[in-house]
Amino acid sequence: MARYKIRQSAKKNVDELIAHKGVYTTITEIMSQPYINPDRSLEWVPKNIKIADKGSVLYYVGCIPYFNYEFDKIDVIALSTLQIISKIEKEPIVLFKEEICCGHDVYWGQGKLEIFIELAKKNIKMFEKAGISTIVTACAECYRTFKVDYPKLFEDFSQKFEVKHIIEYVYEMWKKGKIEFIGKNESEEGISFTYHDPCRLSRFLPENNAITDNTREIFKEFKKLGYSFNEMEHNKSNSLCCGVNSWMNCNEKSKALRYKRMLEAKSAGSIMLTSCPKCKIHLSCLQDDYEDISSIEISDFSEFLVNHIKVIDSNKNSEVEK
Amino acid sequence: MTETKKKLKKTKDFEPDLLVFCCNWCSYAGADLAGVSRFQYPPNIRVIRVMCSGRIDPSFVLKALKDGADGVLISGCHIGDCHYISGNEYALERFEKMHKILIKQLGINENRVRLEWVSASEGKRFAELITEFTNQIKELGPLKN
Ligand code: FES
Repeated sequence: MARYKIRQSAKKNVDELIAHKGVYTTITEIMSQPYINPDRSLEWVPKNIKIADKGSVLYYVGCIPYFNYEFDKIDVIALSTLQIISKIEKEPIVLFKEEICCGHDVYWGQGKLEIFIELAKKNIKMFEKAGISTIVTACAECYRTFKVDYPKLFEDFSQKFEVKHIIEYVYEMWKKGKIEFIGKNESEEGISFTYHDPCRLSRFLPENNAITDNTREIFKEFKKLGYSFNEMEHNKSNSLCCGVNSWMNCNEKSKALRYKRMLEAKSAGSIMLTSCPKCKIHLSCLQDDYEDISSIEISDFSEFLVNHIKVIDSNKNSEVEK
Repeated sequence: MTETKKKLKKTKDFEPDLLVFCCNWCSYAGADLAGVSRFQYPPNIRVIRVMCSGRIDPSFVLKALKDGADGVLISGCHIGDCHYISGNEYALERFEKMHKILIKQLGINENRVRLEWVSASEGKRFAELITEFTNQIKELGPLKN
């Protein structure tokens, strides 16, 4: 819990190091105030998906709606995740209009612990009010925060709520035999793809986590569908970072790191998957500057999977097909 | 906080803190003219002079709101008059996006953040604008309550 102090003890003004001039971290800070009740647009939710304010399964979107301010096509992560969950769940999914940030960025980036705690309290109150029991998220950072950092502050958090990343969720459903993967790749030669492990889903989780291996297991299954999975040179807990976690330090060094990562991806396949919205933003940002890496298609795990999931249902009537 | 509670706290003598960003070439000169010509306007504003309205990043506005401003006004030269040719066009574009995506989704009343063009000769208009803006924010009550 004291890691954030390193930045402070380096006697640097943390505010100077924030990328995008601190727009997103300031938003987080504003959201921690008790008098702020966000009113997020749910325009991106398709009409045929039922959402509710109360229920047991929550899709925690994270800050994606705010990212629309500068980045295009980020909504698609939220959309495809919601589609996946709603295909599997029978009940309407809970989506909060007044959802706030999980606090990851102020905790890791600037070390503003008080704000982090405020946010955590506000979040927990909201979850309790809506009667949530399972939280599903598609954001690696939200996942790690809920899984590891909140229980450190509030001991009963992990008893009250079950936190699942969409990868974990899909994996479990698949193992339970509730879903199968469909959608064969029709072209002659197989499509090769690779996976960028976000820090928060690999080395930043407790050692006994199985997410990296689960991900690989799902990808192995895709071999049957004509998609071959290749590892990059650095992978799993050893993977290279996208360089800008918590919106900190977007500079030439982190760009160099990203470029290196993109070269690795290029030699591994034509599609690069990741499961953190920020990794996607940062890696694709570099593609505008460098032509040699612009051919790689970067997409989110859920974006890739959404058209490949079919629900196996014993009583056929609620079968959803896509 | 609920609407009723907000109203209770909205006392008559609430004095809002307003932040005004003025571009050096038009709006600041306009504000200056208002002063020199002795047009009266409420003393609730603090003016920050920037070289051009294109300098104003949404993070400035957000930080102001975070640190206790009840309203923020961005002002620059009229479209076409910017001394850096297209600075105010960028400002406009950025402002609209910020309004829609950041301010509105945060649940902050949109009227708290405004963009207005004031030229160097519009001293009178500047005074009127500030009066109107102050009254509007007084109506809305403090952001923090
Ligand atoms: S100089 Fe006034 S807006 Fe650009």
